[in-house]
Amino acid sequence: MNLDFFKLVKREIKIMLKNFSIIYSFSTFFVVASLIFVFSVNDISYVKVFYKSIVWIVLIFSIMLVSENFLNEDFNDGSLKELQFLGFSEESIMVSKSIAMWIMIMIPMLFLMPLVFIFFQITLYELKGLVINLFLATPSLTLISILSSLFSVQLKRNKIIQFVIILPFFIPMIIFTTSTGTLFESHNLKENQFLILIGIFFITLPVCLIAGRLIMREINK
Amino acid sequence: MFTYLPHKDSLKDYLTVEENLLNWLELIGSKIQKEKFFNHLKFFKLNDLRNNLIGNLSQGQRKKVSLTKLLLTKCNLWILDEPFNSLDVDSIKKTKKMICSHKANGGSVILASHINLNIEGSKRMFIKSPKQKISNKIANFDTWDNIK
Repeated sequence: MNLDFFKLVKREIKIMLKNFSIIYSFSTFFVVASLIFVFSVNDISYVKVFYKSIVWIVLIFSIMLVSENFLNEDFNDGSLKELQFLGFSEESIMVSKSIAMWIMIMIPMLFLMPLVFIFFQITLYELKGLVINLFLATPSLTLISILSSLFSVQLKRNKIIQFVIILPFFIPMIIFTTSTGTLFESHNLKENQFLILIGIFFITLPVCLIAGRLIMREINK
Repeated sequence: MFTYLPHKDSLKDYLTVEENLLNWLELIGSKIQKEKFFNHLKFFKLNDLRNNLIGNLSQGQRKKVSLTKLLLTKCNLWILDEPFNSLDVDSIKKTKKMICSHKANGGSVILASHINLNIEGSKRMFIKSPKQKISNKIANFDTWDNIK
């Protein structure tokens, strides 16, 4: 990796940290959507059973909500084209944006986790499992969301197709993130599905980079 | 090494004029003294606006910020896409002066524009697809041999 890539990452993080509306809308949506689930169920014991599914579904929708800010804006103001002209590869643009987006998601999530702890009345041990899950699964989620954002640039009007194409990518994430917690309790690394989340990331990374490069080239045609 | 200014200004609404330009300089790996930086801002009278958010500026002011990038770099080749859009008459004159001075210093400029600049020594060309029919009489472009 050359020094230019780190310049690009630095630029993305700087820009994103200035755009506080991303953190604000992400956090607000996450808290409000989680609260709706909590209030819609009378018996809190039911919420405790499904807390992982609720948290992950809400998280995926929150990420999809903010992901458009990351690439659409760059496309609309001409920065995307400028970056490509400056010689940054499509892959480095995608990875730098994913890193910036991951940071922008993880900062509010660290503050929101105690709220999840209170809302769903989970144990500290379950919270620990959830936080580890978050660290391992969000890199893949951000990559898929960046790809989704690129699709929205290319498809422009047809948002439905964007969701139809992208949503199936989230299914393996949902399956393994909602089931790792129970296996985490077994303390057995071989049975532990955390490793699967890492594996999913290494599958998602090249697929998203190749697809992203193709879409970016298509956008500029 | 070249500097490319796209048709859109590629500036972030939630960053100030100064932040936008410094971010861009950092990205292209160019360093400039603060004093020089402020002097270049004076060219388009942007000094008083340097702490204003880009989102609060008019289209013309945004374009001026975008054009200031050219003054901040030492690139020989400038590629400009519609650099005169949204500019007032005075700023168009200044941009033209900027281009002429760059040319005089040995630099080259390729630009797409709807405005006839009449810059001494400039060549006009168009790129057309094989099916496209443009009357040379109307367009009055230089021939390719002339440009070369």
